[in-house]
Amino acid sequence: MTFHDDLLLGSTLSPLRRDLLKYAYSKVDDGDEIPDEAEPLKNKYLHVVEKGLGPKNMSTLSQKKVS
Amino acid sequence: MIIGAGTSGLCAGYELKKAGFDVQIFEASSRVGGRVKTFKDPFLAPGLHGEGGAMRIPDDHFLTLKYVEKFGLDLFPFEQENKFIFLEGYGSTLTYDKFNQLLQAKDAKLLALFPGLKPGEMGKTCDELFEAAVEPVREYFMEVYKKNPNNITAAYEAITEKYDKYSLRTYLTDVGKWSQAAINLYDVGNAHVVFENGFIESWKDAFLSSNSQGGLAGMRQLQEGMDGIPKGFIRDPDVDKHTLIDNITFGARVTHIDISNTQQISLTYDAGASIETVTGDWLIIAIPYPSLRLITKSQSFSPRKEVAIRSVRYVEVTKVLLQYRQRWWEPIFHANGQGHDGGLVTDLPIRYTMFPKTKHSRQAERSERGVVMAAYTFEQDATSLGAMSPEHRTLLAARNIDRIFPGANSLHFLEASIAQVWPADAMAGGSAFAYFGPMEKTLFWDDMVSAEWGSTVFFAGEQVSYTHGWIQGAFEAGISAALQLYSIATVNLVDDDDDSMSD
Repeated sequence: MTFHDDLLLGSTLSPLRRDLLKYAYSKVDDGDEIPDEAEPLKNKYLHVVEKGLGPKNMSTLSQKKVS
Repeated sequence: MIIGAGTSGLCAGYELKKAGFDVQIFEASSRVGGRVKTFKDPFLAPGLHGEGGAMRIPDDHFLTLKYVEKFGLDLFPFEQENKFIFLEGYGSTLTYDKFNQLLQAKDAKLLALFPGLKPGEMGKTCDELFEAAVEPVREYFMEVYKKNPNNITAAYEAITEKYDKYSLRTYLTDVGKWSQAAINLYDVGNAHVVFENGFIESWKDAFLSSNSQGGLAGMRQLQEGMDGIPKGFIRDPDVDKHTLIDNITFGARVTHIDISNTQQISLTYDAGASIETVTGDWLIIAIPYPSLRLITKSQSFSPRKEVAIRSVRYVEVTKVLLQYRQRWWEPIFHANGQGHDGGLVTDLPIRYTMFPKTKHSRQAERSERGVVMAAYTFEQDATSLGAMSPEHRTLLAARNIDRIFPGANSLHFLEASIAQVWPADAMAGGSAFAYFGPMEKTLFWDDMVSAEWGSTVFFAGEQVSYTHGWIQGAFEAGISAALQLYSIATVNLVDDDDDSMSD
């Protein structure tokens, strides 16, 4: 993870980013539409829960096993 | 192989098992969940529960909520409708709203408890003081952001670079120019402030809490206890074919890890009266750093990871739960024109009390009883409470509560007590959760998340996330470690069955 991930996947994930911008904007231009650049990373993690880590399956191809 | 059947290790193991890996988890205790620890019968009356560890889920913790949904667990609101404060020197219990009004009115009796407040600090609430103190951070953030439009990362990195050197205390005194009296006011007005924590992490928590009007709005909890989350990974095989129920070795205290010339990892553990050794291709370490420190290794990890393992800051927490035969507090809260539940901050040793949410609560529907988190303490308060005998600790907590609500006859209703003393919990390494100190984020993060021993050893646990102290952090780290391992393990493999991963 990088600082970028920290920001996107930090203590509050996408809301952190939105809130950070809202917070920063709060005394400048309240009501601005806040983009949510965290969605791709958030979706990447949700995809793991919903669909798994990836397309390959070790049970059929791995030569390595715990002994 | 995975060390630790806390939420992070379970999550990593579960996702790897779904991907066809042969998973073995080694857990020193006899239960799953780690720092998710729900007390039920026989510690409390049948049908009741109380949380010794994680106890609430913010609405934005999407991974936690995703697994809650997956496991079919029922949620209900956590936020509390009342908030009180009791300061020993003031002598009577106030609603928090009244406390703020007195601060703003510069009430002489209240301000006398904080001698040395600067003129500019008088007349402000704790939140107003803090918001003013962190205003330079917001301004600097916007200054950098305006120079780098649509690049919030650059702005965030800039404030991190500038302010990560501060603890919360040094920021407030050196940058915010707070008096010691203001520090004291903020301390007793919040109860959970840890001034030695790093400023950046404290700042993120604080401004996000202020955004949600006290940090509790939008929180939810599980109807039958938070242990439903880790137990979701060990459901009956008929319910979940990927269950880890038979992939965990309990009572296995890992003492040594080794790597062979052929990159095989071996793991030695105490198992009851015997010592066992197993080998495998990859290892995920999903236990707190203080516990990892106790495991010997045949060779060191990278130097900065070793420093991180040795020094990353952990927070100590002690919670004392009291079971009352009747929810005696409800009439008091009603008298304040609000709901059934509430929180209390105090400078007494119990520091923070949470009266349970009863609206929509199944355990409240089942019984007139209630389990109060009488003491939710941090750092020195947690250590002191933890050092007491259970009987003495119960008496202290119950009498503190009785003193704060005199006339409620609360001692008359006390039935049982149980405490979770994380500083004395060997399985957790004597710690509740990680929370970066000054510069730890800047110095250690890249090394904390990197694999070791030729990409055969990976790291999970909430400390390897930026959501320290939350189940969400355990999930983030567990999935990250599983993704890292999966990527390494499958790099040279070809699988024609792309649908095999579908759950």
